[in-house]
Amino acid sequence: MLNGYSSNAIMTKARAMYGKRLTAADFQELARKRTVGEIASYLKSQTYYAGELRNIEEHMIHRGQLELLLRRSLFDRYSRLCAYQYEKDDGFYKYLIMFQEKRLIMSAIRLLNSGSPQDLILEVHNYLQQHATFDLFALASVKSFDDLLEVLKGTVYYAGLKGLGPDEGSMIDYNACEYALNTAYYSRVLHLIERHAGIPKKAQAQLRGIFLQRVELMNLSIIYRLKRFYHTEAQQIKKQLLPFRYKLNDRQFEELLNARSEQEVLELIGKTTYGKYLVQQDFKQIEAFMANAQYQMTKKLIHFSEYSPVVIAAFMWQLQIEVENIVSIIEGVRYNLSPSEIEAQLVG
Amino acid sequence: MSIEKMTLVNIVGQRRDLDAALLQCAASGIFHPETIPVSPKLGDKFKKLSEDNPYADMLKRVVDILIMSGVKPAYRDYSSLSLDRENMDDFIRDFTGRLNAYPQKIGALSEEIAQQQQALIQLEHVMSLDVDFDAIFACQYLKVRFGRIPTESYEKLSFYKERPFIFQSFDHDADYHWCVYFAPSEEIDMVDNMFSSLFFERIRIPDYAHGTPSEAKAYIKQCLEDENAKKEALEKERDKLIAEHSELILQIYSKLKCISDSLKLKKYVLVMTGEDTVVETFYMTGFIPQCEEAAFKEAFGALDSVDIIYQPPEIDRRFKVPVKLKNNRFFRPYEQFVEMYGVPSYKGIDPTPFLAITYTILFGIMFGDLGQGILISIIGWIMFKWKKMNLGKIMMRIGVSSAVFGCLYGSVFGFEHVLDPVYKALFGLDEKPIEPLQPDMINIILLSAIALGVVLILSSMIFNIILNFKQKEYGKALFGQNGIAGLVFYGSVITAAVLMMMFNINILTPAFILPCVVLPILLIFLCEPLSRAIKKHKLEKPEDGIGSFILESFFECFEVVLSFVSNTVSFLRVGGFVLSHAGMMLVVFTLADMAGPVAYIPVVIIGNLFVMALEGLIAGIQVLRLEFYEMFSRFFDGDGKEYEPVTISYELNEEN
Repeated sequence: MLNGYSSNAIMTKARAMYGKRLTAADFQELARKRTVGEIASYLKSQTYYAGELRNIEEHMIHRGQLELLLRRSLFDRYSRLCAYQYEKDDGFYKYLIMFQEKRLIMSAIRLLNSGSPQDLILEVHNYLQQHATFDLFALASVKSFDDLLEVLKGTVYYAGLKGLGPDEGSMIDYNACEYALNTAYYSRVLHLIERHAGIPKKAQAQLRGIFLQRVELMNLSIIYRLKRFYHTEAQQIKKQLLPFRYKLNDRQFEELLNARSEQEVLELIGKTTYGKYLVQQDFKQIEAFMANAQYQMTKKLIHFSEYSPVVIAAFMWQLQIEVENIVSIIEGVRYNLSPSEIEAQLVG
Repeated sequence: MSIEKMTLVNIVGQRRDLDAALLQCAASGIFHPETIPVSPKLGDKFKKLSEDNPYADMLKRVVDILIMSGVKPAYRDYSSLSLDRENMDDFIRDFTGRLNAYPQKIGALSEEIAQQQQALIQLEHVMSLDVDFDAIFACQYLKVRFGRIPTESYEKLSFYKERPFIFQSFDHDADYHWCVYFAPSEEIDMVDNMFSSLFFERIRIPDYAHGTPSEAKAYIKQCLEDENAKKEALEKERDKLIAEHSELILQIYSKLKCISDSLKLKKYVLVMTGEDTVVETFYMTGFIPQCEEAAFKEAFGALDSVDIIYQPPEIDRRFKVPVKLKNNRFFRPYEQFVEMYGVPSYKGIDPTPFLAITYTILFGIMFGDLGQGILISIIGWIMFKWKKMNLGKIMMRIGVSSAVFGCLYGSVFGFEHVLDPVYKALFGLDEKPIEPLQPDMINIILLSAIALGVVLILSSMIFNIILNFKQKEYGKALFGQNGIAGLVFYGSVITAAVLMMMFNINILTPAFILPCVVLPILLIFLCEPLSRAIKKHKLEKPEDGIGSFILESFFECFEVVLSFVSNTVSFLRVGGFVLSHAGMMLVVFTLADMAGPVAYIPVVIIGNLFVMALEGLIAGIQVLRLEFYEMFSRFFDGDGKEYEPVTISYELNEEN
């Protein structure tokens, strides 16, 4: 296990890397670009993505390729930091890989339902394959739910998905699978945090906070969406909520579940500890509210936490948000949105 | 060595001559305008001007031309320029049109060149393909696509083996495979989509690429040379156009800038209007240096409707007289430091000579080294000559002072005994007069620093007394903490301390303490009511009550006494820097000895440079701090108004 001095060095490195992130001025500049090539050119010449984008031809690069390179750069930075921080057999650092695995499994299920499972290969990338807990290329080859289960045997995802096979001629229950995967993922991550050797209790609490807040925000999103679009009853909504709690207690959740409209849900959220993130935005999308809340929390942890695992985890959230912002800009430019419309989509 | 005498100028004339008058004011470079407050008694008779600048748009277009042409804006004498406003507008429009044609043509050529370079790169990677391009592109039932695919996507092609295409990779590196794929014409859209999702980047081989790749490459290379030649020719043509017209453009720019900037003075102008006004008359007020009166009036000679009326500067209480410092060549660079603190009031004193002398001496004391001092002077000279920096001039002066004191300390680039033979030859001394690190000398240096501080503080107080008497502030002059009362108190305490410590004479008897210590403190305590009594010729009760007054004054007196102590002790840093400078050079030489004979000289050089940079900077800042906190605060308010004449700048800024 690393001693205190090297842990401080890693924290400093993470904070130094954080210091090089894109600024508001960079995002404003990017939002004013008119083509994907111009965005690529700017990122290549003016930002710290220059290394990852050194071999691209700006005027020819495909949008998807650019996004892939950005996500890979995120993973590379993470790997570099983790190489110093974690022991070889320490499982906690794999949470980012597990997140990608979960996403791929959901894509596989979606593509199985749509009858084009072969397209999953486009989402599988080499940099993940090396670290994944199962064969991603095998996942790309599945033709049925049973094939999927076969690939996932022995992984943490298997148990949750096992009983969700579709009936003959029916589609796979996507929502149930999503619930099972999220539950498996977050249970595993929280278990790894607790099991992680050498992290002080306070650091564990901060790490758990990052993930539990994420889950709690997801639950709020589920409540809001189901109220708004489907007018679902409280008991039905309750079954869909992930079984984790953080800052909100049961009474607050009951009030939210029993709200009569999505407006009331928002008002109740406004009275909770997450209310401060609500008022800062126009609230056009619940995802923006969630992303902003996570952004603010992780930003604070980067500045004030004394523990390197926490700083690294918070830093990675920030990087993910940055990459998502760039992707939003790319999409906005592609669909000819105005710079102000694009900037309104950005988080942070 | 004083404050420039100013004159209040009133400019009155007919509206038709306003623009010309403003031009003269701006061009003179000495006119400091003032806003005339409009009295309600005058009613609507006087109006402020709020007209648009008719030259602003033309000026902007000329600036655009300069930027596009890469010509640096500068002043040119435009007296020979015969173009009027309309002609200038036409010229600007025409020239802009001609200049704008080039970026489009050059841009198109650049794009063509970039495409050809890409095609060349692609051809490099397919050199192993020994097939005629014409034969490939002539295929009726097959479509072909050349390009490159990321390596990761290349590895995924096996998942698409059932799709109808043929794929061939020619070359690859870590990130990409250069390749070609063929597909039946009726399936090409589907295959194109598939490859697009694998991030295939298509590179178009130009239609004019014939033959095998090597033949096509030769042809494209030739085309590339031709295109580059065309581009170069266009660029030369553009540069020639700019070169031929740059002088004229700069003249137009200078004229427009001058007129445009002068029109900014309109906000200071009042115009008399109204039904009973026969001719519209404008009024403007400002200040000029008294010595420029004749020249200024002469500049308006051609404008017969304009009158220039001079008045004493303080005649109109609505305007605060601006202050221009006037110093000789030696002191002038130090005005920069004075202006950092503030500008003296018009009736105040200019502290620049005092600062110049004390700053130079103090820096010399704190940074005494003959070699380093000379080097600082040389660096200052270079900075002034090359970058026109005022700080360079100051460095030239303080470097000399440092060199002089270096002679006293016997230090030349840290070599402490290099000057010993000189002392022996000139003065018959066995060693140098001052050895800073000698134990006996340390106390002397520190006590001397304090003594110097006392002298400077007393001088500052004397300045303050003189100034207050000059300004008829008798209360402050007599009873203030920096007035006579403060002077007596401070002087007495210092005298008593010196006599006690140096000569063991105790003069602290009641006969001394009462008049020299207690009485001044009491007068300082009662400064405010006594000052008011002098002004109004009667003693009044304090406004907030006696209790509040006593409490406030007590703490103020306490602070006064403490500040005397702290300000005096603050000068210990002067002695401290003498010692630290010697100490740091000692460290340098110790390191040089440790580094060995080969590295000795480089270490000494680097060490000297480091000490000069670090300690020179710190010493400079510390002396300035002493000047501002310990001296200026005693006599200098810095509440004057700076003299800011209207000038025309020909450099581009954010406004342009």
